[in-house]
Amino acid sequence: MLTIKNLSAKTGDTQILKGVNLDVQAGSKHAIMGPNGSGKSTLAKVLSGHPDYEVTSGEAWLEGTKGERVNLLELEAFERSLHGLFIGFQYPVEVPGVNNLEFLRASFNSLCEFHGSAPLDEEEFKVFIAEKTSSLGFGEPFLARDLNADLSGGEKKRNEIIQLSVLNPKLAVMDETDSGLDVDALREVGGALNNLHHSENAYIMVTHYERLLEIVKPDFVHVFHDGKIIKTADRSIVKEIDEKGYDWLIEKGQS
Amino acid sequence: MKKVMIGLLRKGSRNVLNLPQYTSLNVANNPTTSVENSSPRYHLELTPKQDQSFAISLEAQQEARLCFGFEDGKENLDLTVDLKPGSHLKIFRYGSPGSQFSHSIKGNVSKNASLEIFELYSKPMNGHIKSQIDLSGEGAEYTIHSFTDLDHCHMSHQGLVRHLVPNTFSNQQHRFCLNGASKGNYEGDVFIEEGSSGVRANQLNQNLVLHPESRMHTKPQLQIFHDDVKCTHGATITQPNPQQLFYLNSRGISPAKAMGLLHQSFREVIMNLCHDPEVLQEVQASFGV
Ligand SMILES: Nc1ncnc2c1ncn2[C@@H]1O[C@H](COP(=O)(O)OP(=O)(O)O)[C@@H](O)[C@H]1O
Ligand SMILES: [Mg+2]
Repeated sequence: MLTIKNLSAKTGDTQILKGVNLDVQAGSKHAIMGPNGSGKSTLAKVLSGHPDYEVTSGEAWLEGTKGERVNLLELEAFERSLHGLFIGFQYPVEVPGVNNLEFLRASFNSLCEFHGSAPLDEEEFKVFIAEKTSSLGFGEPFLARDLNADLSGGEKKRNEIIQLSVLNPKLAVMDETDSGLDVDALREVGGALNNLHHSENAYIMVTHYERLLEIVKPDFVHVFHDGKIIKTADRSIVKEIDEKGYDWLIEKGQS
Repeated sequence: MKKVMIGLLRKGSRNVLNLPQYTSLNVANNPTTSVENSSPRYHLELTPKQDQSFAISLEAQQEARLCFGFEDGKENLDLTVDLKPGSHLKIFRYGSPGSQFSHSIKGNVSKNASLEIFELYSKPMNGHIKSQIDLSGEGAEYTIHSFTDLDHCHMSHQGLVRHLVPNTFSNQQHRFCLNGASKGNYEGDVFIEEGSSGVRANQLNQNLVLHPESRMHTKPQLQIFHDDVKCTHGATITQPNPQQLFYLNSRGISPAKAMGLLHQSFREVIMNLCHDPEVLQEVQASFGV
């Protein structure tokens, strides 16, 4: 579903990604763990087409919503999304002036247009969205509020999940969606991720914590260090990392 | 000018709308029976490309609505408004006035009377708007909600509100959205006379600049000659930043649509304040909504 080959990227003169290789199959769940500053968020943003980064080498292919294999690096950011890539950002951007309802509907209708289906008018969309927002603990007033403006860190993360559920992507990269969530919110978000997962899509979760992974149960755990994946293991490594940190992996990975 | 609608609500014993000076408008020609209606309204077709000047005076306790819809062509509009105690006038101005237009309004609002202006200019040509509103009786109130959509044009808006007596209220919200190589100029003065206790005056000018070649100048000012007043005034100039646009793009919204979304959201704050369904429909049509 997603194939990343030897992907390297820089910002300014700083090389951040240094040859990432990753293969994600439909129906699978992956976790990426690794020390701060190792380039995890950069990987997510490079995949999304963020203008701050320049790809210096490598490839990234997605088996998109239209069934074809698309070269992500050739597409504009909005096209990557339409083809089924979703990035849950570590720091969702505030867009004062644009309210959640207008934003979510514009997003959903762009996807409808892309797939040649009829867009939803405001009333239809309100019905469609009501259940999604309430299941994540947001009441109706939330929709009238500005996009991410004046939301707490945890609320912004839950808002990313709402967007995920609206766009129903093939591949979602959730970057530290669990940071800043209290235990209840974490359970809600983990539950939502599990509900949205099926055999035709796949997740990559970037996280520092065992707690989310206990709920979501990834099939693979990748350890990221200095711009690349240095180890891939099964879920049991999460507990080890929680106890011992990353140093033992980094030393091994570099030897 | 497309049309002028005048709605006159019955209140008190007299139902007279005085329009002593006007061009191509004669209320007297309209059947008086419609005045008996609970919400009578005159629809008057006006010849385009003509300067229009109206003096409107409402008698005590009268209520009226005036709607001016603009289409292309040079359309100048001069209004003189005199509101007697307890009367209420609502003015709607919307549409796309033509090249080099000039709109002015000079108003006097007396005791417990109110003047409310709601205006949405969609893609006007170069032009000038000027207003001077005097709040001359206690309890007088002036409200304006204004949105102007500039696209490759210049427009200036000059307003003066004078609080001449205690306990008078003004509330102004002016929004400009600038696209293409547009220039906007906003100058808003609020003057508060000595001894005017209990005045509340709010003035806000918000601008969204969507194009690198657009320029906005804004100068909201307060001249206060009394202490016991509550006043706010402010201006903001916002440019969508690349991070915001990227975030919208990352959700499948194309760059052009993202700009459109920012624009639409900015406009709707004002548009949503229009509680007259008939006017709203025309306003929306003029914006292609
Ligand atoms: N836009 C940027 N400009 C400059 N430096 C950046 C930028 N983005 C990331 N970096 C740097 O790249 C490194 C990796 O950052 P990041 O991908 O955020 O790491 P992680 O998510 O693993 O904590 C850090 O040293 C960070 O400071
Ligand atoms: Mg990060």
